[in-house]
Amino acid sequence: MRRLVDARSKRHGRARLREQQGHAAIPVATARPQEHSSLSDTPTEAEPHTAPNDSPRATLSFTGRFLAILALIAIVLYLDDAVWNDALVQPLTEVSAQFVSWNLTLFGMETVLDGSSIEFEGHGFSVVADCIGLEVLGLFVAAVLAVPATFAHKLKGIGMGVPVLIFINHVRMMTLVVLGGRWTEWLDIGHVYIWPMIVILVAIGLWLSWIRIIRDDSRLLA
Amino acid sequence: MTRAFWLSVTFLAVFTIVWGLFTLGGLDNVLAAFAAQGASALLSLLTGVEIGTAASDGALWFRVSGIEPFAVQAALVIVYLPLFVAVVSAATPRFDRRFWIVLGVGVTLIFGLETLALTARMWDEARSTLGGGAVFHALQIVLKLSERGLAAVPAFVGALVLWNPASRKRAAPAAQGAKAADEPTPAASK
Repeated sequence: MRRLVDARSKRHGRARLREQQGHAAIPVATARPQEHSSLSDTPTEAEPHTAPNDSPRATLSFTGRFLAILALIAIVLYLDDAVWNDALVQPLTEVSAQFVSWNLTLFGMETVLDGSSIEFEGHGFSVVADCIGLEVLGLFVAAVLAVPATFAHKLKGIGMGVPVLIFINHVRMMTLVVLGGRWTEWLDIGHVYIWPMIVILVAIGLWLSWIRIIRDDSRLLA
Repeated sequence: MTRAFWLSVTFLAVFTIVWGLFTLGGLDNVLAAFAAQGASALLSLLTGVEIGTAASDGALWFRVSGIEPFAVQAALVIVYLPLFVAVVSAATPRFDRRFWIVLGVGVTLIFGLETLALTARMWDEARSTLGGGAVFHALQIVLKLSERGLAAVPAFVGALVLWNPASRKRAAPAAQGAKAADEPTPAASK
């Protein structure tokens, strides 16, 4: 039992040292230390030992960074909307509309493109700032940047996730145009309920996968 | 692969159940009406003007003296709540106290955001009567942030709290080490 206690204190010591050196680990635990004392002092495989950096404070710290970065992104989008007259977003909406129109044509569907507006089967669709997935991209980028990882890892995460999310959002826009043109009654359900959940779920999945990919790097984790 | 499969199955099962409760069971209307009551009470408190509410055909109607009754759409509770519940249910390794705390905090936050968003929409609709001010602008910012993904933050944080691959990586060798150290060895028993 002494060997166990020694091993545990060494782990605590190492983790503290790493945090002091600026290599804080990703927050949050999978175990509940207070329950060990009620059952046994020995952590089991079912209830593994909690590392000291897996604290509510670390979770709050991550959440704070996440919200702060998200707020910064929201401020930029707000300034673009209110002050810069859509100088950032307008070109993106036009390019997105062009891609959607072009891809629908590839699938044999005739569309008429006018700037960021698409006409399909007699119905008009305007691609606006909210359509091009900036909010989910912002969420993903903020979540990646908020994790205490190296700059290279963050760059890898953004480089891996952003293209996938852009692709998913492109598929979303294509399906919504087709729904709106052919099955109008399904447009609201797809637009308001189904697709927002799919894109956010994909973003969460990509983000957790990225954490799994980088976890083996000793520079980041215990 | 197996873990990913079971994660997907759990997510889809929980999502289908919650989604069914929302759409077929009418829970979405109940929650939206509840949030609307809170929003009208909050707006009355902030402006000093009495706000009347009514739910009709799934829409939330508000009455402010001096203007026509108007309808406001609730969205965050309907979209983000089932997503959050399904994500944390799939992410948790077991339904223990930690899970229920995360679930409770997340649902409360989403519900609170919905109440604030509804208040902001109502105030915007009735601005000619109720006026503006710093609180009005602050609520509009909260509304914009909520619509731009703020309501999805509990799902991210909840998934990390309950299913943190980094913690799992650390926890597994630690648990193996603990098991090995706990077994009596000739040296330890002496």
